[in-house]
Amino acid sequence: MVKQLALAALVVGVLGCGPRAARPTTAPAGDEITLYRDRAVIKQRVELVVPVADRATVTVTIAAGVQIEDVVVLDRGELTISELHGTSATVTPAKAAHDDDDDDDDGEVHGPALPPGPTGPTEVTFVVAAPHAGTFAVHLGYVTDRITWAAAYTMTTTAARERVTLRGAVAIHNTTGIALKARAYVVDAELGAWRGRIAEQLGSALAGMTRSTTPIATPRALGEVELGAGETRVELLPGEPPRPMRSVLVFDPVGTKLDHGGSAPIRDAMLGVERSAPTRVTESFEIPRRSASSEGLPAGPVRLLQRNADGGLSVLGEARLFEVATRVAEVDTVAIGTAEGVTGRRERRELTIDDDDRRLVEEFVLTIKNTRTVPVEVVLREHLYRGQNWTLAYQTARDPTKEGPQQISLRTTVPASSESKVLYVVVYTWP
Amino acid sequence: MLLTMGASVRRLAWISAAVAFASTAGAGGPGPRTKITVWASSPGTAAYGGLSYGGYAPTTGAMITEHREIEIGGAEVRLPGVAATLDPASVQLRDLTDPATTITEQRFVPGATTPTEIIRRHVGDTITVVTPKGDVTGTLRSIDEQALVLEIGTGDQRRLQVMRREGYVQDVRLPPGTGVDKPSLVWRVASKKPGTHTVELTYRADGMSWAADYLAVLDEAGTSIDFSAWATVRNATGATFESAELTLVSGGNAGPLALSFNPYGGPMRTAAAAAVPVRYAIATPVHLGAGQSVQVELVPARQKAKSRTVITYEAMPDPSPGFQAYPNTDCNQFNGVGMGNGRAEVAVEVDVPTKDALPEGRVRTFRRKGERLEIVSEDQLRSSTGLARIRLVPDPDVVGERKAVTCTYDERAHTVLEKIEVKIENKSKRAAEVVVREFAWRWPVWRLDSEDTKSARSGPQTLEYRAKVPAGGKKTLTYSVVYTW
Repeated sequence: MVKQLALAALVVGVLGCGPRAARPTTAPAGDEITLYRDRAVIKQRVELVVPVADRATVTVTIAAGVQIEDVVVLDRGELTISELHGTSATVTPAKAAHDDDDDDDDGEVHGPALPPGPTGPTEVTFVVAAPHAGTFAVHLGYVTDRITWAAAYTMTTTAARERVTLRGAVAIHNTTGIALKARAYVVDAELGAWRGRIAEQLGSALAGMTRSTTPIATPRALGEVELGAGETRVELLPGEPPRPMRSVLVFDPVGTKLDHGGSAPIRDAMLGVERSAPTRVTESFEIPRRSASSEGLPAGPVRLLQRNADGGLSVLGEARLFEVATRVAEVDTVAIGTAEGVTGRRERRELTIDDDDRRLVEEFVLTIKNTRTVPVEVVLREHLYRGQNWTLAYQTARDPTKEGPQQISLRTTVPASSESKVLYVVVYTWP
Repeated sequence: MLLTMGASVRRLAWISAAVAFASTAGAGGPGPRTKITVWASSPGTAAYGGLSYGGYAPTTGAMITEHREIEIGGAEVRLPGVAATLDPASVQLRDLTDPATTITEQRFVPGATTPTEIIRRHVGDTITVVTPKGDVTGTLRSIDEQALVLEIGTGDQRRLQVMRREGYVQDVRLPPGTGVDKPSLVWRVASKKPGTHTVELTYRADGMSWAADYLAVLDEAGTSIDFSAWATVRNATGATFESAELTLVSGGNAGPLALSFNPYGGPMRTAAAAAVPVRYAIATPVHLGAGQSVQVELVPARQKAKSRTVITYEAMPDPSPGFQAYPNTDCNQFNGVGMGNGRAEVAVEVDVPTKDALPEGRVRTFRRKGERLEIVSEDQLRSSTGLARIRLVPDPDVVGERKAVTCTYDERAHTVLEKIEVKIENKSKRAAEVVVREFAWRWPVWRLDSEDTKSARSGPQTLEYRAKVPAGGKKTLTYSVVYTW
């Protein structure tokens, strides 16, 4: 059974005989956990029953490894908190090999206590003064790296390959040493980077400063979750109806490996123009996103499965969904193999760096060759990897679409036994 | 043997005229009483290494005043349970029961840390050793890692027994309640009134420090703020203090040594240049357990206070920590060439109920958004009298430049006169209140000669100018500063 404050403990002796000891009640709903990629922020509600209008002491447990200076009192209600003490509870060390009944012959002097074992939950003892007897709520806040998580998805289709059902789950691993029952959110970003963007949003709202157009990760509500020790799985898309899918070809010769997140572009002339660039075009399925249900979904691997007539499942392909690089994309694609008879080539035509105007201009031509006897539609996925500040100055394809901070897609149809060329010009700028 | 164990032996023939803060420890109020003054953690290394070159060290640690009951009558008085990090030279004792009591000798006996050391503290005591052949009780004469020596029997039967510790000694039972393994002060005193005396013990100890932590919770619009200030006190003295009256001291890093002596032969500073320490008395007595950290509230919290948005602008990072030992007389340094556009940041300000600037410390800022709580930033708090400022994010729309219009170094008069011009430009589409932070960085002794806008001091060498700059507008500030030494 998960309880918010499983180890609320009476403390009588900690502060001498001054303040009276109070006890926390069974915690009601009111906790909040926000899961970031690298750590979690916990807002923990503690209810205190103060027997009389007096000073009282109470001890609660919070996540292991949290130092007292990292605990903040977010809301104290009517209480006055005069002291907060923190001690890391320790797990009782395993008995020493000699510390048993037949150790009398070992010749060791029974000396001081053994060194402490692994750190357990942190105990926070606070001394409060209440205006009257009753029950009071206090909210504590802290950050922990002892809750980790990972998201994963499956897409299931039938032999007809016309519709697909998306399922996803977050596996949350709790090693804080305490059980938590809380309203939970997941944010697909590292805490430091995300809070920088929140500060930027706030700064823009307060002072009208220019803000980045790069989309920010949206918190995804997971609902009320109970996190005991170990792993808990939370469904991300319960009851999601099937969505259509269709076959496309994708030419993506660079990928995200060269993406540079800085505001000033990388000036290396050879970046992304290696001679042995891949010519592979993949056979893929394209699945439209539903903006309402997809908002804030965390990135993770996806397996495209096909349910066969005999009821068995076979894997058609694997990909990753909801990556930062595709945060604003309207469709997802899952590659299932190499397209036969269709190849691509990527060439750079021009690179100009203008330091006076702080512009770097790069022009590319993408050539798709189709040896099939039917026309094919190809998605050309390009990555504007040199830097974050870019503008697509010119392009000859249809439906240019921004899919993420440094990713665009262009579309072209190549007639049977023919080839098609798409040209685009990107301009990078820097402050 | 006891006398050889690390004790610092001093002959003292005084009853202390206690230091200033100890004198306030009360003239013998009833019951145990502990007062502790803790200095803030020392600041980190300066950007230019100035503090390490400056030849002075900031005050650290704690001054502890305790009231204790001692029994006078025997040869020695032992007071266990003092801080293990006690500075023996700082110990002062005042007998509140008999002011005529004199101390003839004082020793500080550090705490024992190993089993052998603990047992060795009982040389001369009666102990019991458990062996495979039964219990042996006698007077402990000697002990080392290999063996212990007991004196057993009486009269003609009296003899020494050497027992091998490994394989033979199974257990050692020490006399209860002696406390000799704890850090202790031991005195020889002369008093005409034997019996129980109340004494006031004052000493300095390392291992205790504090640091400020601030919490700011903004509402969704960022226009009101809950602001609280906490001090985290760390007690690594090895001793526990019950119901301690706590005073926390911050600032004042330019200690007495700096005022009178510069070991590198540089110019001396005057008292006027030193930062004045600020003292915070904590309202209620505090339990300071050994090895514990305790948070206490530093100043009363503010709830739903109105916040103001400003843009702070610094043309350069504060160079003054690098020039605390010698004045900088190079007029070409930081005079505008190659300094770039400076750094502007969006910040929120809130009034706080203090007469002094709040001590240095980190501030964690949250924002309530709907039901959720978002972390916004974690940064060092900026504070001046009655004001706390929280930086949020760099503002690319406000730029500026700083240059020295004139700079005159008078080698004979020991002065530098410098006229500074700061230009700021607001490229935003919204008017901004800009706080321009300037540093009188060349030397801590300085005065303003003139300024075209009234400034406020937010630090020993920091000036702040407030200017309203319209959208797309510009503003120029000038001031002159004179450094003397």
